[in-house]
Amino acid sequence: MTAPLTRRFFLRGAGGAWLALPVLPSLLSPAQARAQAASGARCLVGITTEHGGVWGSNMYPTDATQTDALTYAGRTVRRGTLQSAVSGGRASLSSVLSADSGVFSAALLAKMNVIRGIDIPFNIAHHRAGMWGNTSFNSGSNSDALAAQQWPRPTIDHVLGWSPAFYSSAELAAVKARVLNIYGAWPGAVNKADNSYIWANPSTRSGPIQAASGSDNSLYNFTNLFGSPGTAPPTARRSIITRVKESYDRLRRDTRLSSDDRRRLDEHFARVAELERRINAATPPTCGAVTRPARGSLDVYNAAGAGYGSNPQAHIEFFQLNVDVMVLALSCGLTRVAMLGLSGWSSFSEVPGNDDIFHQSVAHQVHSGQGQPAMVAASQRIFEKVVLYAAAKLNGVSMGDGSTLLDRTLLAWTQEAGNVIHGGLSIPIVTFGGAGGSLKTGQYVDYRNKALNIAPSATGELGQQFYGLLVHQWLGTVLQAMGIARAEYQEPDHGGYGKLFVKAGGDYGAGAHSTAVAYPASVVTACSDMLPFLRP
Amino acid sequence: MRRFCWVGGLLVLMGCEGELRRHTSGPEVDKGQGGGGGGAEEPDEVAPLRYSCPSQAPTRPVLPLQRLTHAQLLETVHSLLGEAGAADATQISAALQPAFDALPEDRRRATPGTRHGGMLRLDQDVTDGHVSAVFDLAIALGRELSRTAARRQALLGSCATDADVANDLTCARNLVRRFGALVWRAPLSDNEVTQALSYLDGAGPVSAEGLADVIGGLFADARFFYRLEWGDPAGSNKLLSAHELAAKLSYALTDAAPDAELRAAADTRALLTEAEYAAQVERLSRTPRAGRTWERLVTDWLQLSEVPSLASSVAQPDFRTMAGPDLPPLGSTQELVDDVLGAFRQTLDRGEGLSGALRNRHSFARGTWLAQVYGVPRWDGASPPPPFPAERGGGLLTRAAFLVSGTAATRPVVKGVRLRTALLCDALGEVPAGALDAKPLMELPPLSSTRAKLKNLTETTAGCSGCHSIAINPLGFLTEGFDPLGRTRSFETVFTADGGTLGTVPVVLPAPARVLLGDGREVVSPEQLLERIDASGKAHSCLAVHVFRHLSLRLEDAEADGCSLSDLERAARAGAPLRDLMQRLVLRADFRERASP
Repeated sequence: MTAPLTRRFFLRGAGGAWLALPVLPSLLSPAQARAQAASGARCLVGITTEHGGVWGSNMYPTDATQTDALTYAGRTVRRGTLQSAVSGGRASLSSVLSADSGVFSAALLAKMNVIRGIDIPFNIAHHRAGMWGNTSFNSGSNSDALAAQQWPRPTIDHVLGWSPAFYSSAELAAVKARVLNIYGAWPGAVNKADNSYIWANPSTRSGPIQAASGSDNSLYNFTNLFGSPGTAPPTARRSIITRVKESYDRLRRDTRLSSDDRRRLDEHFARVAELERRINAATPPTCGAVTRPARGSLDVYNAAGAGYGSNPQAHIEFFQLNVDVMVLALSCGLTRVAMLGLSGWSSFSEVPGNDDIFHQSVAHQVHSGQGQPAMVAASQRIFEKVVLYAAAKLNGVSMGDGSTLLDRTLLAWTQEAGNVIHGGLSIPIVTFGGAGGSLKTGQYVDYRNKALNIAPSATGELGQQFYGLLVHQWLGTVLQAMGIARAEYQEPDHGGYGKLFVKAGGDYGAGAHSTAVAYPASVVTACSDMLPFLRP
Repeated sequence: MRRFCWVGGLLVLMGCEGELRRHTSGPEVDKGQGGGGGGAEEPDEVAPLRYSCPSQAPTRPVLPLQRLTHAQLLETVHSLLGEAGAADATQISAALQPAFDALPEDRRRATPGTRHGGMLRLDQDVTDGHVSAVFDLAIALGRELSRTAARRQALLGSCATDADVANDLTCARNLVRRFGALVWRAPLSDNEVTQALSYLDGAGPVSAEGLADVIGGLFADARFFYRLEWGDPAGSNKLLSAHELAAKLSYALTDAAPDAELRAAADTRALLTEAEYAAQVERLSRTPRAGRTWERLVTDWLQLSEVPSLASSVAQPDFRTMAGPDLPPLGSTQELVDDVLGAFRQTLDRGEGLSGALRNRHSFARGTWLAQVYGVPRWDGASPPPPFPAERGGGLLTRAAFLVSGTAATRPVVKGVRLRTALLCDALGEVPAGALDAKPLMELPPLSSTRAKLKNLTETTAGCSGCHSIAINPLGFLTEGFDPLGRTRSFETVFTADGGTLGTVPVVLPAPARVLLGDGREVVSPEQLLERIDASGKAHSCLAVHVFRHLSLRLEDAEADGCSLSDLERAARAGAPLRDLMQRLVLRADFRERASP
């Protein structure tokens, strides 16, 4: 049995600052820790970055590391065990997946997966939330993308957040945010977020699908989660919110209201009820004394001034401060779902992300000699300084039973595009954590059907495009790993999650295969399964 | 070997094949005749009208309950702080700043045919962030307005602080009636007053804590955040009540709650008469707030939110070399936007129509940097603005906001797309599959003009040239006589990424602008392009539909809204003053009806 820890636990914050966690689960006796963290509770952390277009040779381990094969859904799928090359203090799986070997350790590698061959199966071009279940929010750059705009769906973070199978009513007594969404359309913005979508009335899972709220202002998020000295005392807020709710209830019963107006008020009423729940949620006493960080992400942005755009160190610090708050919230049980969207403003490059400059100068040039190195450098920074940083933080939180918070978590990083810019084929997924044993880890898995090359006559990366399995199956896998039954999320006509809109062919360019060949029935049928090699 | 069109600039979001179409809904596409191919007939210069008023229009789309926008929330709260009468309103505002900061920003909602920009007013989503931020703001307002005896006295009068406790409840009741009517923008019924006072919850009626909760409750109520429309109890259920109409009109024209004069007209129901309503429309549309609302409309219409933030580019070596002594400072982007808005503001104040803004040839640069770029003195905001030098003759098209790129080279595609989709309301086709993977047809020497490079990339393949050669590139080429900061030039300097220079190449301007798609005549200068745009009426039609969206808070239905749109379009083309366009729509009978009956 692990002895109770008695020392204070610290999370090392960005820029050398230390964020004191007066009491984290690691400070508790095992019994206390178990009491604080809901039994078997699993967490999801979804990290999304814009662009993509990192060539496969820069993103993934070599195919030679794939040692096992399996016939699945009419193709051969492959896997291998992740093994990094360590040299000069750097551990590396690929140009992008490389980091300080002191952090990117064998222990973390064993908790990692690199997933290749998950497709958004139509020509989506620009989007922010396709890999989380809503492909309808896209730039409408072509007829397929425009067609997809007809079928909005909530992203799976909110499927989880509002599922009774995920948060028990007892647990909700302490949950401050069903989903913590860290996203700013520009640095520090408090806004609707492009990476996460929700029903207008989430309590009834009805109404139009709209962007969820979010902010990448770390102190704003901290205040929402932990309160602040300026916040009204909870008792006063409780009294008022109750009466506000009563007032809304009276209004929505007024017979003079039109049905459309009543629907809007119903949606608002549901959100007021959720606000009431959050206000009444009791912060676990062990987290009540958390110290407000002295520096927030907006401070980083303001300090960098006009130079922020071309200062990757500032981008790193900006998001590490956000990750610190996120890990703190997960540690304290204030949420179990966190989405982190890195908007294009922070390019993690010397080439500024604002005003489309990185987008045009780098992302759109990834297939020329100019853009790929800069994209690889930016993506490597994101991997090491945000993704791995978050994983390491989560891995540093002991749950008191020999496991860490990372073990209970599925942290997944996805990008906007696959290895070809604007392409939906093989959008990379890098994960850490096994979601409480729901997923096998330590693997490089590859679901591409290498018998079908989309453009065999093309050279370079363009000649290395193969059809994979569907994003619906990836999303279903995540939901199942989080303990959600298929019946709760699947649509009547297919497995997996999300609207089934599969259209290969013309929009992928000449030489592409028909939809029936690219994504045969066996691929659609497979969507009900957890992804091969990941199921324990 | 299969060839793709290689695409640079913003072209990824634009179609380089497919058909150009109008992105506002309407019955007919423009079809200018003739072309550059030597047809005998002179092409039309005026685009057909886009809208018509059907004899039997279908029912208008329903517009469900509208919330206050971010801008309206802030305006409303600040004016209510003034109404609260506190002597230290500045301190109250400062204390409320964190609550203001937490209000979610609205996001521009895309309009048909555009992939950039959009309209802020169309964002009516309500998120958890809105609900909690408005609630927290309400609590903070209650706390701040009742924090000191002086503030309570300012709000309630002497009954708040006198020694007589017997009048305390009446005192609070009067506050709810008076201040509540301002917060809810309508008088409270007796029941509503009682319910508002229930927030006291046993606290003293004029105590700080009791008042804080009562005031907080008023602001946290749906009647503050939403514009509820019940209909006029004394009239048809279809028509708005006087107070509902006052609120709708005031927010439409000024983004603010009704002022005292408008409230008085609502209180007496005089607002429901044609004469008084028209008088209030005229008065409100001449207020400074109405001017700011116009600026928001212009910002959305012309996609001014997309003007690059130049100060962020100064770290790029080639940009620094290009800028030389005119390196953009912080705030330079706002200078660019303000220059455009200044032209519209002057047009508004002069009572001119859109052509006045298009052709305005004065600098509204208040900052040193932009004035230096223009080669004119700074404008002090009061004196007559200085005229542009003669060589900057393109009016709106040659204002720097429409020329800057944020990089060391110009972006003709970006310039062309903006003029085509924003100013003219034309939509572009789809992006061809694989466009960005394609390579240029041939290699050009590095010392080539931006125009030459772009033509090589986009006009040498059938898939791309459709949109680029016809609809996009020429519009961008015609302002190539200005560099990426908006300075005039006859030669283009080509830079290397490390800040070196390769040399210069002459600028070539003439291009078939095709303002009307069938008009292939060559245009030789920005001035001539401006003439063609102004004469075509397309910008006027485009403005008309944006005015409609801005005031109606929704996208148009070409049939159901045909009469409103047609009226606006004809007025705009006939040279109606900008202010008149706003007035025309709010004066219509259907504006005074419930949006969601």
